[in-house]
Formats: sequence, C-alpha cells, structure tokens
Amino acid sequence: MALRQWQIITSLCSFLRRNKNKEIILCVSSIRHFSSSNSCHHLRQLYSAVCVERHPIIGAEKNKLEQRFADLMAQLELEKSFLSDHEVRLIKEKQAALTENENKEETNKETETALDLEDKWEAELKLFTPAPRETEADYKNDRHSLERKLDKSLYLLVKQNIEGKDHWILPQTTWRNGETMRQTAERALSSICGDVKVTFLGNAPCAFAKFDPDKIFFFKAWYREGQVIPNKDFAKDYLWVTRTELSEYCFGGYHKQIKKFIPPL
Amino acid sequence: MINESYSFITSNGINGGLLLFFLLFFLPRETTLHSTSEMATCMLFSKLCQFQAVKVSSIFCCSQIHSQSMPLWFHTAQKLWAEPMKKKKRVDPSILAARSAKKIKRIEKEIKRLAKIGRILKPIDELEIDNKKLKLASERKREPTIESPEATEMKALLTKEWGRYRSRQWRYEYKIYQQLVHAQQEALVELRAEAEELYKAALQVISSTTLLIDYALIPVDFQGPKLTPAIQDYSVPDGEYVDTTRKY
Repeated sequence: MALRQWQIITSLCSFLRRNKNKEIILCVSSIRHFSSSNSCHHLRQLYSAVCVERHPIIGAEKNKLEQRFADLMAQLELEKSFLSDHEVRLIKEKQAALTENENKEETNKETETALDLEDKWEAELKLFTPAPRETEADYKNDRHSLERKLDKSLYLLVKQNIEGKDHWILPQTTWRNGETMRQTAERALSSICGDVKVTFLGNAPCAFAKFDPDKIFFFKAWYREGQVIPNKDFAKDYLWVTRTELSEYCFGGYHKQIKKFIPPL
Repeated sequence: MINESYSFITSNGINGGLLLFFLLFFLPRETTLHSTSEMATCMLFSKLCQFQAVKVSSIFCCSQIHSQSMPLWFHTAQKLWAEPMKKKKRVDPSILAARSAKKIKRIEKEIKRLAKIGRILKPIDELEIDNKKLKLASERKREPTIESPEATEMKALLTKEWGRYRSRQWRYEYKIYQQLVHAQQEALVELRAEAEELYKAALQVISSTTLLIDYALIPVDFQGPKLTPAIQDYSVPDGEYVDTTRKY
C-alpha cells in the first residue's frame, strides 16, 4: 500500500510540475481519500448527481379564488379605461345610422362599418385553434416524453445499477481526482443521458445525501434542449416525472433526500 | 501554326507567358530562320521578352536578331494608367468672391437665428404629453357604472380574501425557500469536511478552468409559462408595419 501511495505522490508531483494550474491542487485531496479507505472494506466514494428540471411550459390552471379575482381586476380595468378608437367609431356610426333613418335617405354606398369589422375579426378568431393544453403524451401517460404535464415541472430520473440493484435515481456518477463536484455532475449527465443541453444553477451543490459510507452531492440544472438517449452502460431507462410521481419510483430513503431540494411549488 | 499564334496576339492582346510556352513547345530546336513568317516569330519573341523582363540571351533564336531594324509586325498600345486631364475653366475672381461672401452671410444668418432661439432639443416622445390626446381624454370618458351596495360589498370581501390568500401563499413559499437555503448550507458544510479545495471550487463565481466569467452560469434567461403551448411549425402571418418614428 505504501508503494502505491508513493507512486501516486510521484506522479502527482510530475503532473504539478507540468501544469502549474490552480485546478490541479484538487488532486491533493485524493491522497486523503486513499489513506482513509485503507481501514474500510468498502472504498468510500463521493458522488455528484444532477437534478434536471424541465420548467412548466404553460401556466397552471387558476383556482376558484384566483379566477374570481382575475375577473374583478379585468372589470376594474375596463371601468377605469377610456374609450378606444374602435368604440368611438361604433358610437359615431350608431348615431349616424339613427339620423339617416330620420332623413330616410337611402344611400347604396357599400362601406365597411365597425360592426362588419367585428364580425370579420370574430371569424378570424374562430379559424385559429390554439394548441391543446393536454397533449398526446398526457393521454397515453408516456413518461418518456417531455411533452407531458405541460403545466408542471418535470424531473429526469434514470434507472442505474447501484451495487447490483437497479434503482430509479437522479443521474449520478463517482467523483474523479482533479474534478470539481460540478464538473462531475456535468460528466454524469453527458455520459449517462447523451447530448442534453442544460443550464447549471451554480457551482455549489443544492443538497447532499449520505448513504453510508458514500455521499451524494446534488446539483440543479434547467433543461434547455435535446433528447435523452440513455447510455446502456450506465442506465437502462429514463423517465420524466413530476414531483408527486417521484415516490412511485424512488425508494423511501432516497425520495426523502431529494424532496429536500425539489420544492412543492 | 505561327500564323495562328499571330492572330491570337493581335486579337486578344499579349499573353506573353502563354505564348512563350506555346512557341517553345512547338518550334523544333534546329529551325533556321529564313522565311518572313519565321522572322516574325523571332520579332514576336524579342517583344515578348521585353514585356516579360526575361533575359533574352538564354533563348536560342533571339540572340542574333536586331529587333529595331526590322519593320514592326505588330503593335501594342502603350499603357497610360490615366486619362487626359480636363481643361480647367477660368472663373472670374469677382464672382468667386461674391460666392464666398454669400456663403458667409448665410452661415452668419443661421448663427444669429440659433442664438436668438437657443438650442432646440430633440423631444423624447415617451415623455411628451400629446395635447390632442389630452383633449380626447375628456371626450372619451366612459359612462360610470352604477353598482349596487351588495356588489361593492362583494368586491371588498373578495379583495380582502385575496390579500389573505396571497399572504398565506407568500409565507408558505418563504418557508420553502428557507428549507432550500438550509439544504444547500448543509451540503456546503459537508463538502468542506470532505475537501477544502472542493468547497472553494463550489464557492467560485468564475470558471475554474478558464478563470473568466462562467458563461455557462450567467446570464440566465427563462421564458415564462404561457396560456397555451406553442404550435409546432406555426407560420406567423405577416402584419402591417408602419414606422411612425419622426425624423429630426
């Protein structure tokens, strides 16, 4: 063991000589790890996990109170507003029509009145159908799709093998010498899930979990684009689930830990 | 063959390099120069050599021939790289003086005018109140809605309920934020216990690899939730575009 440590130290020294980079200092901490693991039967490891969140694409449905208050606000807005050009035109045309009736002068001029315009606009609106709030993936309950539960945040789960057992967890990987924890998390995502573009929310972990003797540090990231293609060497499957669905997949202890930083909002 | 090359020169101007090649390839080395056409070839050679600034002595047939004594077989126009000057018009100095005086007078007038008014600043449209619109405001008043006392009461109650609802919501959210911060603090403490270097790296605001601002972190942009999702491959109909910005 002493020989092995000596090898590590000499290789480190040569490495440091070659690259006088600030980052390399991180290597030093690895020595501590090796020495502490001597007495332990299981090599103590650090993990970085990344919690990829897809934000809601559409707003949530308003509840009863919110709807009532929104209506009230709209009403107040209307009451306190001034007449628009269109409304002025409507009033004017109405008055003109009244006087015309009195004079009984029939003019066959075909002019587009404000009311005609309104009809035209209404017809145009009817032609337009907005995309439905519930998608095909919702009906099929396809949890691989990103097109589901558009009004809620979705989180990426992968089926990884840990100590011989398959678990549904956030994509994670072991920390390597010379890496910061965020770099490990980035590597975890790129190696397990393929080319998925995300934005990490800082260098600091948002939470940690201890599963003796290992420690997992969690990082949060926003999903940007790309399709998850799980690397079969690391993960068997993947899912996009909401916060409430997490408990269906994650085992108790793990679910309790990740609930700490996945807020019910 | 030589005649052909001739016509090539006269019609297209001189392409010396190409022609040299051409002749060197097709004239046999032992050719004796007797006929006029052969003479012409040599002429051509010497001319070419002048153009191309190639040393003539190295070329076998040209060293013996004096180019000036021969009649010129072909002509090249001289390159001028310019065109003849226009003749300058002579102007009466008195007219010139009058012209400059007029100019000065005009500028002086302008200066006087500006000094009188002072500097005119370009107005900021957003800050200007349009008088026309002010007038319109009085014309465009909506008829006040007369509401029953019950409706007023309902309105007040709803506003109160809304206030309570929002404050409850805020307190709930605040609690969650505190939990999130607490979870992160815990994680940082644990990371420090693990390795000081990792802890320091976690606190970095700049990129650890490039030592510059980490553009993977900032700026962060996010497009908020909408009422309905975007339609796939939707082509936006073109609207009318009228630029009403005034020019000063």
